[in-house]
Amino acid sequence: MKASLQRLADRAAAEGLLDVAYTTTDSPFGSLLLAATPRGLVRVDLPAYDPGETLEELAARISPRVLEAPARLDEVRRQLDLYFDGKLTEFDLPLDWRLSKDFRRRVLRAIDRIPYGETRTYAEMARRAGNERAVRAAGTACGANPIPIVVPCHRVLRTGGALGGYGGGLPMKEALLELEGARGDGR
Amino acid sequence: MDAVGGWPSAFALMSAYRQEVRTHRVGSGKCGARTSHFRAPGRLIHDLTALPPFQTLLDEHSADVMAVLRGAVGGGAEDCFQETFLAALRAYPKLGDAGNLRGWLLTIAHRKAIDHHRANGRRPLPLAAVEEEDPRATDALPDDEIWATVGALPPKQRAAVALRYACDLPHAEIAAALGCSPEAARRSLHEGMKRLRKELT
Repeated sequence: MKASLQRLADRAAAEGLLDVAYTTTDSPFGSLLLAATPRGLVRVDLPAYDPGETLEELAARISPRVLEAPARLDEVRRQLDLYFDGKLTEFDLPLDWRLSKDFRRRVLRAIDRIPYGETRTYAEMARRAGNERAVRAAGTACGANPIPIVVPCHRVLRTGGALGGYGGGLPMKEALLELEGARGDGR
Repeated sequence: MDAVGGWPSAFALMSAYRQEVRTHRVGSGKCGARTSHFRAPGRLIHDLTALPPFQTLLDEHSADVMAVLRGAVGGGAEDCFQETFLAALRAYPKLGDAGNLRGWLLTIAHRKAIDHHRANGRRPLPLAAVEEEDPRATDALPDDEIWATVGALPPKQRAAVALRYACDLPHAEIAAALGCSPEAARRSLHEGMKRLRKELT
């Protein structure tokens, strides 16, 4: 049966019937759900979330043609493994931004340009997204980041250096910053 | 789901199925921060018109579809399985009603089984498949003439006959697959068989 399902996923992809491919992968923080469309990586779900709910949401928002197809996420998994090992500082993956719109997408695109090991503030992200007064909205955009880790919202802190928030929990945010060598000063 | 006298209520079957669907979807409450327009944690709120991720259909029904196809077409089951689910994937986003997905899949499977028999002509079933089957079904091995006549029946009768004799479904599942009452399924099967007997003798 496993071979049949694998064959089905391959044929579905070849015929353009695989709109959302997903798999799970281990990380130092627990299991991550990864989902990609033919355009690119569309969702990384942190361990705190329920994968069943995420898949339902993807079915409703993108397409119900959602299939488990690990082979289609091999490259994403490979780069994430290297990142968690400290051996990769920049992801080189096609991304599908369709789950974020307007201001939120502009914030996330600005976040995507923050270099490894550096941090920025929510206020700065708001300014870069074109509305410097929308600091709170920039925070919300970070919280709603559909592609965390790869789009590094963990590199955004409050003005003054407080951690702010993180969907995977603050210990995870802190651990990611430590992994990148961005938080050695005990702020 | 005890088949008392072979006729459990299709409604009982479907409500059991729907209950199962709901159980799989009750929110955990972990994701309160995230917005969701179609569910709230901890309540039975699954909207039966919302299409679940297709993988759910594979998880819940692929083994049954494969078993039905093995019974119906023996060694052709793998090909029919692929064709069934590819056809289902093609049609899925436009499917209006998510209430009877199992029946929908089995109906597609039975069409693929008929296509297979048509394409291959009469072909003996492998022994393993025959042994598990109802002897009445193996007496009536499909052949071109019979299936051509079945193919000419009105749609409901054709589906009932094929689900019974190609897919080897019990009556209750035929009713569930056709989305009708057991009485209506029995009537379609009876009328279909009557017509077949008349035309084939």
